[in-house]
Amino acid sequence: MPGSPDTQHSDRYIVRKVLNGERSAFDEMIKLSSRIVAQITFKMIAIAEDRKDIIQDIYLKAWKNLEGFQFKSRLTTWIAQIAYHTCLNYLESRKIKITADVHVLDDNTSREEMVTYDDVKLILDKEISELPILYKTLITLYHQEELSYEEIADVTRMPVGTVKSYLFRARKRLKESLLTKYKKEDLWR
Amino acid sequence: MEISHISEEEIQAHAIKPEESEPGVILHIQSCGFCSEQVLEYRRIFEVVKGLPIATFDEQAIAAFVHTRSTPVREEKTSKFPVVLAIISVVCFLFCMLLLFRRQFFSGIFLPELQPLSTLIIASAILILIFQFLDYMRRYETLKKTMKNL
Repeated sequence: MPGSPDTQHSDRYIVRKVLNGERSAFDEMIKLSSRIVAQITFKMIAIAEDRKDIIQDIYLKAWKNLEGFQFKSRLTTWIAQIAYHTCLNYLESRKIKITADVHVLDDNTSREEMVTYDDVKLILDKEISELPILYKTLITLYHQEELSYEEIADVTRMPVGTVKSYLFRARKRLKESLLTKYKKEDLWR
Repeated sequence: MEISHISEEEIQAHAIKPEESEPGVILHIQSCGFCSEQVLEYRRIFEVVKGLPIATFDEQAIAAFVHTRSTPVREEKTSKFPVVLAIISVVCFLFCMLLLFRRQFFSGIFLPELQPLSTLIIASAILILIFQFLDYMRRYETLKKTMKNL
């Protein structure tokens, strides 16, 4: 999905500067895309050390392939696409399935305890972390990063219908897992 | 009497963008306690998810790493040398073919003392073409690998 004219203008400006060898422009490019790259890598890669290497790899790829960027999407979407597929390659190389369940060690806090709003945040964060990698990545991209279905399709190179279908399943699963473990009255006090 | 509720898809869609729901769906949700509770449940979840902490990394460290590891993009442009070499080899090849043709049909014109030279030219042209082909294959594989890694 092409960005707005304003975004395209600033993207062209940054890309031109980076291609002319201006380091500050590349730093600006990292700053612009760091949030979405961090969100993708943190959701897809569990090992912190590997994540660091992957983020370095993502920006090296972005630097090396910048000349081929055709402004068909926003620059941040393009970098997000590199991030998603770099993480995907990493997972494939380790034979980790992105639709498989993730097992997180349970802590010993009692679920019967009354929960405050901050607790709800912690609970939801934990529930999301237990979702399959693809589900939690899509939920983050849609609900936290506020990307449209089309933009997510662009990042993941999946058809829009497939993105919608996975997101539907992800939300349903999140709601169900939350409500099977906690009482409504405790959660939304 | 069994009450038919709206689908889970419609509930989710309404929780996200109520303005895009069908009038029938809106009417049902307004009149059905069970479905409106489902919508509310999703909205609460989405609201909390939106407010979850954002992941971050050390941008400066990454920038420093990339600056030390990468060479300027402009320097990565491919050399024109292989293209020139390809043109020369094609020209040589055509020239040799022409010589052979002339030799076969106009043997009187083709001087016997030139025979080792023409053989050498033909052999060189074929070798250059083979190397050229291998080089392009290698470049194609590299490009394919880069595209796959994107």
